[in-house]
Amino acid sequence: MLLNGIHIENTYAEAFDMKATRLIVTADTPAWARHAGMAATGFATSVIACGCEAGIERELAPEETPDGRPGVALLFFATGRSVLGKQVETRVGQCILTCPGTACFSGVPRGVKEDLIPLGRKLRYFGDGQQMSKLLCGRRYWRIPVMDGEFLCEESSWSVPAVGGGNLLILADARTAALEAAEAAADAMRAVPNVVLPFPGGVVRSGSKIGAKYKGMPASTNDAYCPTLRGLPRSRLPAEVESVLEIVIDGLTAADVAAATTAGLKCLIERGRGSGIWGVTAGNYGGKLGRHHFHLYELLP
Amino acid sequence: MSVLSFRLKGPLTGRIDASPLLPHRLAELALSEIAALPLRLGRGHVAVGDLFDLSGNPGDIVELEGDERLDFVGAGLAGGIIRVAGPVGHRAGTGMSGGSLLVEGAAGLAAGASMQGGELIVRGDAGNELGGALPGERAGMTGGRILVHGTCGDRAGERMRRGLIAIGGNTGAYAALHMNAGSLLIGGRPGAFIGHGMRNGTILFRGEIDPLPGFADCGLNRLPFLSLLDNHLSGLNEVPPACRGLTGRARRWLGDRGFGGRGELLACL
Repeated sequence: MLLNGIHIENTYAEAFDMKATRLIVTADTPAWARHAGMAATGFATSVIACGCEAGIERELAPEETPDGRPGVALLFFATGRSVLGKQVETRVGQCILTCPGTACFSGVPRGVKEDLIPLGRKLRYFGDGQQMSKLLCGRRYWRIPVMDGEFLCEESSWSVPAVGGGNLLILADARTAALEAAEAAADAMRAVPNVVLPFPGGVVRSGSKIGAKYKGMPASTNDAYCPTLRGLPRSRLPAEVESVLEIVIDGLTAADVAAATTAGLKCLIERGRGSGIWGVTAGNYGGKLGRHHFHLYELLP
Repeated sequence: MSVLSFRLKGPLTGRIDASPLLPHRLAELALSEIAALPLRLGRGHVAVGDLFDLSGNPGDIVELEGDERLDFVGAGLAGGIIRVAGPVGHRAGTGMSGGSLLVEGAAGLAAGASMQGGELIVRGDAGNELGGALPGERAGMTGGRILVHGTCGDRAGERMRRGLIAIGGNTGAYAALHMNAGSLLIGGRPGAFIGHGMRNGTILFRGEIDPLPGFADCGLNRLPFLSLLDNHLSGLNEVPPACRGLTGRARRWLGDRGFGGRGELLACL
């Protein structure tokens, strides 16, 4: 299908069930909340080797946070509750507890015991017996003495079902055109609530396929979309495409991922063929691995 | 919502045990059955119908005309709402585990003692032992919240274990005596010997004080927790206005160290 001169392939993105949680991190200034959020969601691009996928969902105004200070909402995604709990605990302990002036709260409704993600529940032991807790409206908060005052941390968060691995592939005439298109699309997709784009700047250049010729490699380069291999029979790229970039989407529900996909498609189609975009497609594994299929034709704006 | 009203027929001749007048215990009864219920009056009994004019329908809400000789109003309340127009006697809301008790006048001794849950609101003053421990109990209040708009007597929050007490006015002596945990907010001025023997918990008020020698002065601090608590209070009804805005820099005393305690007195500037 050609829309505004851009080829939209009749295919779908294949996404997986994941577990996620949201944390609200506040600090004295928006900048320090961002510092904590960036550190806590750093090295969290793909569950392949990072343990979890994470990102800053959005910045929060003081009136939106539990303690009335500026903050950020962070989303963390992992393959299961226990690995998510371990990742969140380590990241909060090393990146938020350590950051000046911060406090950390759960950003999801109270769940059941089986979905518990420990926060202050374990970090409180850093207080070495000087920690205090407060129970407000059925939620427990820990106050841990630290060198700049007190680290305030909710006792636990909860995991919620989520969807990870939604994606769009942008095919462009040149690398600069692909990058500009990807930046614009990522900006449009970030505006959708309940989603994060876990890769640097929201964009990934090393899309992967499952498996490799080498033993022990679970994934390897997506050679069908590598422009330097355009001459090979299995290449999916036409001669004029010189660069391909992918945007990966993790969301709390399939509807959120679909909304972000639509926002991305809308942005790309509006930019048109004149901006150097040749086409848009999506990555899948034949539909056998992931339960969620996001068909581009159904999600057109 | 069904409302059942009790209006006093005349002046009371003695102290009445009003603890049977709980919404969840009356909801299934007919008005005639409720009028026949016995209430303790001094050493004897008297029927509800002899003391009160009843109107309305039994349900979630009980409205009661208040009198300072009505004791145990809302004691053991587990759900529903009791509204009292006027004062109540002693031990109002003792052992409450849920629901809401609103006293538009003053409350006598030991209001909300050994409370486990729910909400007790006193728009007037409260007597001694507010939210304290009943005789023989090791712990005082273990949950819920008590909001008093006026002043309170001695030993408020004695042996408190959990929950929130907010007092709009001044407190008497020995507030939070032997407190184990929980929060006591004072909108007015705290009385003498505050926090004596406390092991944990928070007492929050405005202005400097000269605490007992068992408290270590930890200086001025800016605690994000105070904003969280104030935000929590903003979501509640009937919080005494003087208990709001206890935020910003606060002097922190840690104690009572004479008892191995690490509770805190927080004096907001």
